[in-house]
Amino acid sequence: MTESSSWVPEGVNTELPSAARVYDYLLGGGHNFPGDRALAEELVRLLPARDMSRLNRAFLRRAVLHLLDAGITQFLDLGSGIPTVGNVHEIALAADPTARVVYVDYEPVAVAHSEMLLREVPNADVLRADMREPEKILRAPRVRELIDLSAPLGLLMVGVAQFIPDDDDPWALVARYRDALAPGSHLALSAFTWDNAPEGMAGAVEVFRHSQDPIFPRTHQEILRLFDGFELVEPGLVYTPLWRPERAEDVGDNAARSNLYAGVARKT
Amino acid sequence: MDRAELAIRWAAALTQVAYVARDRDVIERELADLLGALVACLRADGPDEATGVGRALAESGFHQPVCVRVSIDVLSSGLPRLTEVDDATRLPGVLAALAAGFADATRRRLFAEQQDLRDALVHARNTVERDLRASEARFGEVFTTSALGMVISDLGGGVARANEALEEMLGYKPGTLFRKRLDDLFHPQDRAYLRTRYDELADGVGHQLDERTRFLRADGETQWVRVAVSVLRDRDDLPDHHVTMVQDISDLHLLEHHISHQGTHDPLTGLPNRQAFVGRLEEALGTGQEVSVLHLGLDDFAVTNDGIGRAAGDHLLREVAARLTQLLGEQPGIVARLAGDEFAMMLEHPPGGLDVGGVATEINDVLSEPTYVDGQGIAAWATIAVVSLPSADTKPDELLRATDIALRKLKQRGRRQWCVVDPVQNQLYREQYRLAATIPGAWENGELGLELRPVVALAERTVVATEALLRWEHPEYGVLGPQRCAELLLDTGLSVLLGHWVLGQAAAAVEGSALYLELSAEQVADPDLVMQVRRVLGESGLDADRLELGMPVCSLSIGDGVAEDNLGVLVDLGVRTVLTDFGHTRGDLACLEDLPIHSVRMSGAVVSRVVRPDPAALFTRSVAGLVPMVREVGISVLVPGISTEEQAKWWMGVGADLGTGPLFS
Ligand SMILES: C[S@@+](CC[C@H](N)C(=O)[O-])C[C@H]1O[C@@H](n2cnc3c(N)ncnc32)[C@H](O)[C@@H]1O
Repeated sequence: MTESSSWVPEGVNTELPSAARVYDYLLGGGHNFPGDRALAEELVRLLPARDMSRLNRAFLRRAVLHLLDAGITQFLDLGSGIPTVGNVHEIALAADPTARVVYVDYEPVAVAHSEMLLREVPNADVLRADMREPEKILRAPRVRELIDLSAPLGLLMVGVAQFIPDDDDPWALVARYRDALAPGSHLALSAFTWDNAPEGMAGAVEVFRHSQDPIFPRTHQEILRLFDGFELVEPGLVYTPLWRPERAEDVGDNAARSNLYAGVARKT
Repeated sequence: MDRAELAIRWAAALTQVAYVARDRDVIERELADLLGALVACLRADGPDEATGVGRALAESGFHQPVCVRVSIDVLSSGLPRLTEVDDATRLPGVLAALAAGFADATRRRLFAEQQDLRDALVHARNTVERDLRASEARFGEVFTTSALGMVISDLGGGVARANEALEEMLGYKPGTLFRKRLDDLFHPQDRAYLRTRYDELADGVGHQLDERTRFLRADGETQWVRVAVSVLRDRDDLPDHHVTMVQDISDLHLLEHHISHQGTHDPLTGLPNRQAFVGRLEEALGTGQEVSVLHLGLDDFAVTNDGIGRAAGDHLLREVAARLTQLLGEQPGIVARLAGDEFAMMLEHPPGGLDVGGVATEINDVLSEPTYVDGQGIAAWATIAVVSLPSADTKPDELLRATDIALRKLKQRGRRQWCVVDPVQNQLYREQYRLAATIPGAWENGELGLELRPVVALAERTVVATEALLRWEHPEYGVLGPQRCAELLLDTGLSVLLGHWVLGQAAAAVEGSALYLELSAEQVADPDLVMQVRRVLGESGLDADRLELGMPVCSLSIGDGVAEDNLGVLVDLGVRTVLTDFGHTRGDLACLEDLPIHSVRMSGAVVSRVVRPDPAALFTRSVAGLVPMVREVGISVLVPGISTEEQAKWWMGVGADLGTGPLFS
């Protein structure tokens, strides 16, 4: 290939599946490679992964709508993924045209697509960064341009906490963000749990070992501790479909199959 | 049920499988509007308006293929139950149109999405960013990620880079396409034109290039594609490359034969489609030309498609198209793909006349030569119905309907058959259609009713159950019997609705006797079957184990599993199950092992073949061997159509235990 050498992406591994692209596939998107699709199909055999994704994405929307109701107009979305249906800025700007959103992800495909999507959107931007570096993110000019840390912020960590291993101390990480936020800020978070289907989840851990984003599911207790220093709003930390469902019947008779706990909390 | 209720059900079903970022109320309102449009189609507007509904559905965010499946499930059972719908005869047409519209919108959406990607690519390349390397990384990323074929070529047409999607689409090994020249990928007939357009683009004089055209595959076959081309510029803003995005428009959808009515050509094979064929035939008949029409149905195409794979099926269809085209050669006429596995050929008669039988034979000769997919040889055979020299006032659609029925009948007899549909028969078919079209009215006027027949234990001659069948007391033609009714129903799409109705009527009519009822293949595969049976059992008070439902072997041995699921649930309910049309092949025995079956009903064709059994004949011996095998595993054997004592004795002798027919009435 005559000119390809300069185009071969650095730091992008198309062989090794990434969580962002797997999630995109599970939601019906087209921005993924064969390896991502294969991994997703393996997951589907172990866990109701399509339902998990759909229910998580729907939680994200309800959480953002709730935060808007609570008067939040600026959002920092950590691990935002490939823009697909129901992106945070679309939800927020529909409710409040002055709302501002900064997306953060470390996956190049996710960032490239976000950049394209946001080109014409002055109130939203995307930053390529590792969420384990809160100081760098919070100081980044792209973030500072749109977000005022002296006012309440909606911090979103939806469907990402399981990517942070215990060794990187997710509890301390959330605390570092928390300390930088103004009172009245909210945290919306969802994460994989062992509690419902330990065997299926163990299989998923194994499957994700062969990806760029190994996962670390946690118990209810462990995920609850991520909210230390925040005050959970009703109904607390629950399976995603149970978090303020739009319709009672949406919950179904097996909310636990979502395999993710979700909660929204306020910094006092 | 009213519209709002159905909209709620529809929304619930859709949001179970796909995520759309809107409030449920909003979704329900949108769907209720769509229902309004569908109801209008059912009433008057005709099915075509329903394509708009399909399109709207996909555009509203429910664009995954599973959404159309879910919608058709909900609508096919829900729409007829709407209080405002009193005539559901248009339902199948309306749903097909909906599916077509959906497929069309999905295709557009995919294209638009990929256009975004292409833009991303151009954007990343053209924007001079601080971090050039990062931008190139992203460029490469988008390039490889794309599900669409992409090729970057220099202004002279040398391929600088092609992605795997394109290589795969055109059948090249990964990494081999960049040595080619872009123009070599163009179809010879479109080559000069495309090159001019590319040059114009580079010179900045042409407008956007975005159209349907043909490429050549590595194996020399034609590939229908849609291309969109843009220009890459270097840092001095001078054009230096073309980026071509290539979409395979042959391989898009489940329902492509539904979509094909939007153009005159079938995207998969490049042949004229049904509409084009009908137009051409109309023209020929109108100008008094002497023609013959051969209507071909591929035999066992599903075996290739489901067994080896969709890609192999597509390959085979293209191959058939190519061979038929070659066979037609320079002769005046036309070859078309009518639908799924159906093709048609119209030939103008040369002055000396035409040997249509010879053509039919020749067709099967050229088709039977295997073609290779991944080293596997696959071949096609066709069953062919021929109409020779139709009169000038023949309507093409009617002609094709007649050949269609003839095909179906022929296929029941075996493969590689051909027959001439003669004008008298043709006349009969036409009558048949006219008659079939009046069924809905007859139903409403109470002309349809039941015929009850005893099912008898052959040894004791006691009545063990009552069989209920549909009959029609026609004001003009007198009573049309069950056989005739079944034939007519085949053409109406009403068999499910009427079948359910018969079930309800019969359960009320048998009063305490056990009821035996044969379901049509469509009914067996109807997702609503179990609910209907439950309802009928509840309303009539008939015990489940006094209901015996017959299901055709063919409906259970293939398909998507709905029929098998229905069977399983019915057995759980306590209903007794009968496999009907049994005994054509020994493969039928496999069904008995795999499925919970209580009885089998021998195929009528088998019974009539052994009316006067010749003990030495292979067929007779095979039947005589089959029955005991079935009985051995505790399954009853019911023999239909017994009209003589002799017949009854013979069947009893080989082990059959139940019978129906004139002898017992
Ligand atoms: C499952 S997606 C969730 C997307 C979105 N938040 C949602 O819930 O719909 C998880 C995303 O987190 C990103 N991610 C994982 N670990 C990360 C990290 N350490 N820093 C930044 N992004 C990360 C992945 O690249 C992926 O795009």
